[in-house]
Amino acid sequence: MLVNQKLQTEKVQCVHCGLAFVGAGRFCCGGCESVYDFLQGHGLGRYYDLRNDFTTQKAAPIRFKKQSFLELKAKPERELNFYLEGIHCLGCLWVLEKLPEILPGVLHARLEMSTSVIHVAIDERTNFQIVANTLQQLGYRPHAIEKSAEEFQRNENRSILLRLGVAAACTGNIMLLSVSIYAGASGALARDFAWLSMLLSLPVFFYSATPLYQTAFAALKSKTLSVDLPIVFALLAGFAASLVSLIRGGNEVYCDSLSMLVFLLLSSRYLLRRMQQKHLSNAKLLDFLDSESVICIRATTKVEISVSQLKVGDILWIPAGGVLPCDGVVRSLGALLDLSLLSGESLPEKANPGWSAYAGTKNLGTEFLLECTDLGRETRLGRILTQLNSASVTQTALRGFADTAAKWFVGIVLSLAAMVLVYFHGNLDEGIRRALALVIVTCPCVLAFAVPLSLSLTNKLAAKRGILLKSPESLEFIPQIQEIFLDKTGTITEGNFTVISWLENARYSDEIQSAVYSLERLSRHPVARALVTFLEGKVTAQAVDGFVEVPGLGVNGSIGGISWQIKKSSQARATNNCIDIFRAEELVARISLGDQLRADSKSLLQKLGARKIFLLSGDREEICVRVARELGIPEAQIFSEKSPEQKAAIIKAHPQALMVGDGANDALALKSAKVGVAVHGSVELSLKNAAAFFSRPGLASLVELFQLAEQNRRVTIRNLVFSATYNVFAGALAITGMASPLWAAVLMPLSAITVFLSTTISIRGRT
Amino acid sequence: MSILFILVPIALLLAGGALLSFLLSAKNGQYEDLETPAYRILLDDCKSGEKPND
Repeated sequence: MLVNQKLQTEKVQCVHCGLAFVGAGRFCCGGCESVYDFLQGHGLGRYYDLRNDFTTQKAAPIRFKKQSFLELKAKPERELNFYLEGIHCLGCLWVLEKLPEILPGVLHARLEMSTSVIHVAIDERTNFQIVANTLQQLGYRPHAIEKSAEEFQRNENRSILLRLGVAAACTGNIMLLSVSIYAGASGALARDFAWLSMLLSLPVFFYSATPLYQTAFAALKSKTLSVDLPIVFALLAGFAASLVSLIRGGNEVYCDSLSMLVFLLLSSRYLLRRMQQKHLSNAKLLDFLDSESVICIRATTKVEISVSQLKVGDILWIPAGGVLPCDGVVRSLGALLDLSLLSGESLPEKANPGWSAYAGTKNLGTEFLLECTDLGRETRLGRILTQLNSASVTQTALRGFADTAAKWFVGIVLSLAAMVLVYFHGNLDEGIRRALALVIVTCPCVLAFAVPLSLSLTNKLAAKRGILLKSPESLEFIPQIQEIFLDKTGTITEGNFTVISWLENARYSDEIQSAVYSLERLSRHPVARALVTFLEGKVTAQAVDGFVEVPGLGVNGSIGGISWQIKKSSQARATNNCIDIFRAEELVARISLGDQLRADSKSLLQKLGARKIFLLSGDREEICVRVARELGIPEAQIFSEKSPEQKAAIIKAHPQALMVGDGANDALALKSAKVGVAVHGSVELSLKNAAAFFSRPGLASLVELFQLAEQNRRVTIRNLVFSATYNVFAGALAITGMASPLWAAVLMPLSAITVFLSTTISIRGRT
Repeated sequence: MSILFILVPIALLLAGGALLSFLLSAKNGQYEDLETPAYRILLDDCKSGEKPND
């Protein structure tokens, strides 16, 4: 008789990474256990105290495949920067900066936590391959960084910071001098002060503001209007007018407000830049496929070489669990390939000799031989990646609303100023005064810094909630999105197999569990992994004789003289994966496994309101239909069994859509979407192609992203309305001659400060 | 009022000094990593394996 058995759900925390898991022992995986042993063995046990004292954990640790870093061995440099995946708390900082004590030959190690970059200097006693291996043993995945790109970015940042410092110092002192003029100082003192502030504004005009001149000039050259254009115009006109007024013996100088404008602009741009660079370090990473080594068969012996040394026609030995470094033809039996990177198919496929296999797929079967046919950019994965790079050009062509508005604004202000000049051609002095007042008072500060400011504040808020945005600009598009494409695996569902039901013959209950555990422990198939996780800690493993894995079918073996067979059910129901267990040829249990829906998926989908939800998956149709039915997604909005290329084509047909998908296998589609959101995988690789990354799986982040984007839109609209009102009134005052250029120079920073404060308060207020 | 002719240059000198020290520290890279030093100060300078002094 088959009886449904209670599922075990009690969870324990891993001693090393803190991950809650089901099973016995103190560690969730062998990786965590070996890192723990390594730390204790080097007397670095204090890591655990530190970590518990100051929890600044950002994300759960990721488990990595071992690499051997052959290409780093011969590096001539004595200093190198590594980008480390897996940095999350103070404990990491402590352990990593102890590197010189662990490894003789390392002179110094400095970690920069905000960017996860470690700077390592060594002498001739060691080399970077050893350093990289030690970093890996410590549980971080190192990527060597190209020095030039990073150096360039660093110098650029420094130069902006220097300009900003100069502008701040000069502006502060000019302000002090101006106060006395505004307070009514007159005569020789006022004139001296006016000259002095003119003198102090020279570094601001001719050093700090130079980047503004460059962008304005570049815009003129390409015959477009940019926000910087009227600012530069106002700067130069204001400077010239001040100089003329001084020489004529007056003291009407606008240096104070103009240098303040430069200072505010530079600081908002610097902040925005820092924020953008934080998650963009991926551009500096070396190609991820090249950094691995493979085992190649040359003249019947196995040689370990770096992927960059591979040639077409080489015969590779692919170990069990290895990732294919190139496209090729299978040359021996035993290959069972996990195609999820390319197709999203959740079950692996058996590959017979003569079949083609693609780079990036993982071997879940036993070791096999592969003849290399295509390398690097010529592989299917390589072609997808190349396509991605060309797609990035079209994406930057998208322009935000603020940019378009700025162009109109600039055009209107400049032509109004010209009209004023023409109107007053009889009294050019008055004409110049009014036109100047107009240009100064109607500062496009809302467009120049309020929009970026609210974007970057929202961006920061999002990052705190586990939503990383590549470019804050994408927030502008999100509120208008009406179509959402969701990938099934990991977004709506848990993303891995779990046991849904377990029917067994009660007479053999204990025996069955123990046999299933002992047999499946030896297999790498996802279904086997799910069963092992499910039984971990409940039963003990027994010795198995004559274990045979039949790819695509199941496993056989005998325990204590009784033969056991675990195989795919012949009468499998379409929706789940059914497994039959035979004890001495007798059917004793039937287990079904499936990918379960996340508990909150349905309620969160409803929060997305009237937006149209599509399901886009590489998985089998029956599974997609079942999931869609549970969520109430109509059949017409289901796309199943789609390859990455097909997915991208579907997304291209809906250019205004947001897509949530796996960072790796949906990369091409994510890039084509108006807003691509990646879940899963490493942040670094995902953000190469997607606009956003969710560090928490599930739909909750998506709902939050929409809320944040909506809030940003409201603040932006309020700013724009305020700015429009202000500009119309102030502009009218200037044109009618009621506001002198001096008054304009006071009003303009006041309006800028109002916008600045209202933006900061309304976005901060909701944290 | 003639005191201003001494005070103003002094004020400018002070400001110049502050600016100079800012420029030097910026060139030194002190503003590049704003996160780690705040954590680093919490760690003790003991050798690995030793217990920190309480």
